[in-house]
Amino acid sequence: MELNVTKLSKRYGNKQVLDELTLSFTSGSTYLILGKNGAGKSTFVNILSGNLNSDGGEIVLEAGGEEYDLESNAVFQYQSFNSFRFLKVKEVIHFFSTITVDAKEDPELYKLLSLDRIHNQLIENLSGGERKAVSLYLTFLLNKRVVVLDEPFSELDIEKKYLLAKHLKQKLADQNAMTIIISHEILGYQELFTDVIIMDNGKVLETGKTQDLLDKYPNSPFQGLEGVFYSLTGKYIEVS
Amino acid sequence: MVWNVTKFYLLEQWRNKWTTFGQIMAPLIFLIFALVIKNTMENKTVVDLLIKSQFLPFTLLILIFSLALSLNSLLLSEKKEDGTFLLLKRTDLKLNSYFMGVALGSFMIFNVLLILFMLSYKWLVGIDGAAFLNICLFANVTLLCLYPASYILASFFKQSKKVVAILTPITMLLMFSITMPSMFAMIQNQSPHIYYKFLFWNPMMIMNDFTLLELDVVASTWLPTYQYLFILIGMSAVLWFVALRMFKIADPD
Repeated sequence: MELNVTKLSKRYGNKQVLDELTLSFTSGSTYLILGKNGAGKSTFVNILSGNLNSDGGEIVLEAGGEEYDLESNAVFQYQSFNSFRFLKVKEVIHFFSTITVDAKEDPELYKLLSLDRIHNQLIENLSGGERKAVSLYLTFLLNKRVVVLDEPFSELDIEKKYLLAKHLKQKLADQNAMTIIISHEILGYQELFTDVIIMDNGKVLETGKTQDLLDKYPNSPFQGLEGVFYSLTGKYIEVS
Repeated sequence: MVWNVTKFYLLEQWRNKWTTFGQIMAPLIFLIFALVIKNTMENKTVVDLLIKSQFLPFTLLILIFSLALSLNSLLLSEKKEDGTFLLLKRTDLKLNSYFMGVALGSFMIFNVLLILFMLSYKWLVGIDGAAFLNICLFANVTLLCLYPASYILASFFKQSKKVVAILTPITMLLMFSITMPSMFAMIQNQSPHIYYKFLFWNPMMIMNDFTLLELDVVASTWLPTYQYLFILIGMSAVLWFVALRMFKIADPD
């Protein structure tokens, strides 16, 4: 399955937030979209999810020459989960399980995100990190072929971040999913991303396999992907 | 799936009881005042007339307004705002099933409250069985007529707090358009019906007129009941048509 984005544009007033963005994503790969705040990453994901209309361009999901509906094949994990505030965590998960034919429970992820400790709490009473955990679990519960994660590691504690990255790497490989991740947190998660897209000022500066980019930009004062980003933009990425 | 949505909707409303309680505060105040004047005023005939012509109809009208418009437009705008509809679209639940489940839940809450209020007034002023049933049925038709307006209202605003702000003037418009003509008519010593041709668009006026007839406060309604029903059903159809065209599950810029 391929997701092809062609000449996608978005403008807010005088600011060109996305400037004829052209990208291609394939199943079985995990893409990191790397960029500073205001680079256009969230706008791009919001357009993909249907939250935002683009000014121009096209997004096509296809496999074997046949076009597929993006809406029914993709799931988007939002930065925070605010829906169904007066339901308990276990009730929300049960509700989504019953309304999704291919719902796939993942007891390991459930435990890893500590949902077993908060399953009797109302969404209303959860902290930001706990809401993020619910949002992440639901994203994978829906079991879609295209998965978009927006800052999946933020607000999680260090141990959880490490375990989650490890679990996701295995899970995404097993599911052969196409995964697009926006994250400022790349330190320690480099192995999770098979491909990297570097954006700045609404444009794609560079795209390629993680290792290829690391080999291509070796002479940076910073290590890893931060070094690649610095070599391309001359800017520091806000890593955590 | 519809019943599943209804079940979770009712559970949410039950847990969010302060919002629900806030919605029935006004009709409850009317009932409490009716109880107070019933126990303090001596002329029982006047008290009964006052309760039947003012307190009971307004309790019902505000209850309809709260359940058909207020509660649902708030829910819709909140769900739009927090991305619930976009998330639900990724599941196998048809959004129409979701909306039907919520509507079923609203109608169930409405009918429980309606029966409780009507039983309270029956105990206060005595309402015969047929009138009790007719008023309840007509209230449901009025609710059904106004319900799609909540989708139209939720379409205009991206934020739920803006919906809250606009609900007060709408309540005043719908309510005062009934009380003011009655007052003008009283001053002129005429029947309020002379103003009703200007108010046919207001389902509250129709509900009010029908309730007064059933409670023997007026000898006849402005239009026969079947014509009132036609107007309400027609209005509901028009509102659904507009709502279906206007309502979007998200507000992409």
